[in-house]
Amino acid sequence: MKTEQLERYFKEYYDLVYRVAFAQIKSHADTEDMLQEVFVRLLRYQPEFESNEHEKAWMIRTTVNLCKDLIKSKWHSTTVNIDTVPEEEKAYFKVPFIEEDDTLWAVLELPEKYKNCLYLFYYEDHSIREIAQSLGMPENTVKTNLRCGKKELKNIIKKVR
Amino acid sequence: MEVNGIGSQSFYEKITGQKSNKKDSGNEFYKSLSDTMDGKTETESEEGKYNSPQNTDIRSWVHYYNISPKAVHTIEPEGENTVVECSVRKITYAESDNVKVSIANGYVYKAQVNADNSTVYVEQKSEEGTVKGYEVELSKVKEDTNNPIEQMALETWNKAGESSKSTNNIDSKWDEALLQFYNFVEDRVKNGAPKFQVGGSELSIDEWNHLLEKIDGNLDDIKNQMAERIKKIKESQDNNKTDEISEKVILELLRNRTGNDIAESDTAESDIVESDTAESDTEKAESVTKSEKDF
Repeated sequence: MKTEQLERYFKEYYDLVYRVAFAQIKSHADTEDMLQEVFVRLLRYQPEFESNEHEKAWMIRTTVNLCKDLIKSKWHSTTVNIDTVPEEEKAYFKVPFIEEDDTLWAVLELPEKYKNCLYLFYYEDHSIREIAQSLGMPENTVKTNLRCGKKELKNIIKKVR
Repeated sequence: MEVNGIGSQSFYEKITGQKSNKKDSGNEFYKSLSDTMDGKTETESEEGKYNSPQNTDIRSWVHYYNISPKAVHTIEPEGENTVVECSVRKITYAESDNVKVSIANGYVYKAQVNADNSTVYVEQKSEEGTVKGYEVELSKVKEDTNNPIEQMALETWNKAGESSKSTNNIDSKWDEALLQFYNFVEDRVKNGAPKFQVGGSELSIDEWNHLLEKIDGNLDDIKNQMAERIKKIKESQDNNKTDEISEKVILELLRNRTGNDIAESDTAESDIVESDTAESDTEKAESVTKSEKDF
């Protein structure tokens, strides 16, 4: 892979990968490590992408899978609580173009299957097809997750209030 | 000449310059019409809620004559619409001037200002996956509108002037991040995965996980071995019990089948036992007398 190509990937997906990883891990330091890991994978495997959509999907899928591995790992599961976003970490997570509110933090508290669908749909402007491709699930499952996630989100917000 | 009083009235108006009372007669007509339909207008006019429409705007008739908005929409000329559905342009968040996320309603609104003809393009994405595009003509939008698309258009129009994007900052951010990544890769290639202090040694996350897995594996092996041992002991105990039981059962069966023979053998055995006991008794008695003599 040429340096220019790597730089293009970096510029295009650095923020997206950071946000997707943070949504899973909820820690700035771990997210930065994860980000490096994703690009190391890209360098190591050098996958051939058919389209921009495929490229994006690969990035998101790799990030989500690596984050899952980290969360499952003994080290992480025995040392870190990842249910809520700690106050000191919130400053590191900013979604561009959208005004920040409590709904965003409530979305990040949802169970993984709902969280990923809702986050990608509403905050990353992905279509249902793109989400299905990135997360490797049927489109109808994505729609169901969006509906159920919305209900769950309402419950979380009610509890907080 | 006077025909039903029409001719003279209009002529009189022309001379005096007074306004025609046609509207009032029209109002009376509409009132009587709606009276016959649902009898509502009397009370409404008493309360002063609805005044009769003095202009030709068909929308103001909606309340007054209780006409459904759908019906008005069909009558209304196209030029009056503030929101017109148009083809979807698929604008991204970065391209849009304003983005509004409404998870509770299941919608995302993206808006883009078109300064040339003072219109705002609003794109609505629903959770079902449908995307619709609307063109909003700002000059016709009322400020206190309740229509979410019109509200979005107004908000975007007001916001558009304020936002300014600085590209220099973004570029420097990229360069920093790239430099950081290059350093990371260089370090990784030279020194391998990052390590951290655990007690007296340094371990990477992978090594730590490997170590823990090993320990867990060993513990599981020990547990399994212990369980197997306990099983074996229990099995051997059970076997002993079953041997005793089986011996008894065999003996009983034998007794039942060859009762007499065994009985005889039993008596013979008992005789032997009795003679043995008798011999041992005499030996004991002799030993006692010997010890008494020694005394």
